[in-house]
Parts: sequence; C-alpha cells; structure tokens
Amino acid sequence: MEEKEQPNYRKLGGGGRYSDAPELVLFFLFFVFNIFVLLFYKRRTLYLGPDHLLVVEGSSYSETYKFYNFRDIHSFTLRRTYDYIGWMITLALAVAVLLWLAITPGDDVANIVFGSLAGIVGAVLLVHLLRGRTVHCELKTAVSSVYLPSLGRLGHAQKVLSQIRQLIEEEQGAFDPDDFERANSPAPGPEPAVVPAQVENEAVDATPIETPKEE
Amino acid sequence: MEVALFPAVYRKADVVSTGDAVLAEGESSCFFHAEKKASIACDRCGRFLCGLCDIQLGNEHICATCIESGKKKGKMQKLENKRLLRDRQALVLSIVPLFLTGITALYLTTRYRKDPTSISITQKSRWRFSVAWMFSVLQILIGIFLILSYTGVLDT
Repeated sequence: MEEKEQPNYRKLGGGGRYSDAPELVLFFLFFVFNIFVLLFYKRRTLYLGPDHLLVVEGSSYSETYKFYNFRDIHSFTLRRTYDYIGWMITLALAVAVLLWLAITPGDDVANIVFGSLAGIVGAVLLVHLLRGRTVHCELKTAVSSVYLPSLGRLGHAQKVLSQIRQLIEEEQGAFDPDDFERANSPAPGPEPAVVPAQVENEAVDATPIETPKEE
Repeated sequence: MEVALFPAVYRKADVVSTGDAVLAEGESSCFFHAEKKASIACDRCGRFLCGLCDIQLGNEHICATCIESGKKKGKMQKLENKRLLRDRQALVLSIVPLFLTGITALYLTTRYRKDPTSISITQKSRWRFSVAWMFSVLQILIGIFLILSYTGVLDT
C-alpha cells in the first residue's frame, strides 16, 4: 500500500480519556472492578492540522477520525463543572482518613503504610489543585457538536483556544457582533399584495359555470 | 461559561451552483458537462469543472473521479474515518506468551508491515512492527523448542 499524504499533526491538550458515567461513580466502581474500571473509559484526543482540527477516538487497536475544517467551526464553549470540587473533597477526605489511621497508635508497620498512602493521595490532591478548575469543552459546527475531554482544565483549554482562535480567524475573519445581530434579527418580509378593487368585484360578480342539462 | 464564536455562525451556507451554460464559442467548458461553463480546475487532475462538479474538500477543489479513486486507493486522508492499528495489535500479540499468538503476530507484521500507523503519530516510526516481529519469531522458536523437547526429539 502506498504511503498516504500525512500532514503533521500537533497534539492539543491531554490524553482525553472520558466516560459516559460520572467520574465520581467510576471512582467508587474502582473499588469493585479495580484496574478493570479503565474499560469504562474511552479516548478522544484533539490534534491540530494545517487547515483543520482532527478528533481521534478509539482504543489501542483502532482509531476513528473526525475532521473539522477551520472554516466550518461555529463555536467553542467552555462550561465549568463540579468535578473539580467533587474530586477535591473526595481526595481531601481520603487524605484525612489515611492520616488519622497513620497517627493512631498501634502497629508501626500499619502506621508507615497508611502514612505512605496518605502521602501519595496528598500528592494526587496537590496535582489536582495545581491543574486548575475542570471544564466541559465543546466544539460546534452547523451539523454537529463534539465534547473535547482533552481540554478538561480551564487554564489549559483557554491557552489552546487562543491558539486555535487565531487560526480560525485567519480563515473566517474576525467575529462581528453587529453582523451576528443582523443575521439573527427577523428579516422584513415582503409587503402584502394589494388586490385591485376591479379584480375583487369581478370575482364577486362571476357567474357560476352552468352544466348543460340533458334533454 | 465562556463561548468563542466565529463568523461561520451567522454566515449563510454556500449555495451550490448548478453551473452556467457556455455562452460564447471558445469558452472553456466543464470536462463532465460540455454545455456548462468551467469555473475552476480540479486541484488533483487539472480537469475543468463547472459549479456542479466542483467538490470542496478542505481547501481543495476536487472532481468526483479523483474523490472516488482517492478513496479506493486510500490516498485521501480526509476521506478516511477509521484505521486499524496493526502495529499495536502485532506488538500485543507478540508479547502474550502463547504459541498461536506468535504466529498471528508474525503474520500481521509480514502482511501489514507497510500499512500506515496511527494518523496522529507525527514521527513515521515503525518500531512496533520491528519489535513485534522479533518477539514473534522468538516466541515461535521457543514454542518449537518446547514441543521438540516435550516429544523427546531433542533427547535422541
């Protein structure tokens, strides 16, 4: 098979793992399914091409592609989610419980194990806090809307969007609020047709067509 | 909530032209419709196209014939919407220590060695194929050795 024309793609954002189930549910499912909870996750990553964005979905063994030309992109929306607070509370509680177990007098080995676990979970909490607020980012075109899990943190998403915005504006031009207003305002319809009086009278005076009588 | 809007939101979609008729003699006409005036040339084959035959794919203007042949040969990336990652399949199969997986991995690395890998990989690396080939050969050799030693052929 011949090698295809392969434009260079630049990855935007992170790994883009997401699941249709809420993350906190998956967190608790972890204690049931253990590492196999990863099977509930899908991967959707965003790449920047020369004149389009590429969304790659898939598993480790196959990939599906969606191409979004810069000229077709209507908007990006960033909506803050409560995952940030949810994870923060969950992890902080986990750290508190583990620390409490670590300082409870008893078996020294158990104290060291719980202390280490508290340290690990604490580090995860710190990373979570440093990465910033979580957001739900969506790309919209005239016919579709796609969720971009790889832009899941506010700071990072804003940085990536500023890069993409520049490229899209090079293609489409700058957004003009007046044009937007004009396009959304109801267009003046055609004036109602005036029926000439004569025609109206004719219509009134018109005699019905007589059917020929049988002799 | 933040929203970044672009002019495509309020711009009306392009109306597809059915092509204007050739009015004067000597005017270039569409390759597919001799009676229609050519408005653009195909970016791939150079044939003149009327408004009806012009298909815009990204920033390119392409004729239907090129699209069809491009899809058949798999040369137009924007028409491709799925790809099997044979290199990763082969690598995993070559690592799983079963005799048949080694044979399957060897088949995949031989049959699909020139197949494109992930679209997103910017480096055109084929290391997975090479590593999978080595592991699969190793796995098959170990398998053969185990079978021979079990049947006692090596003892004689």
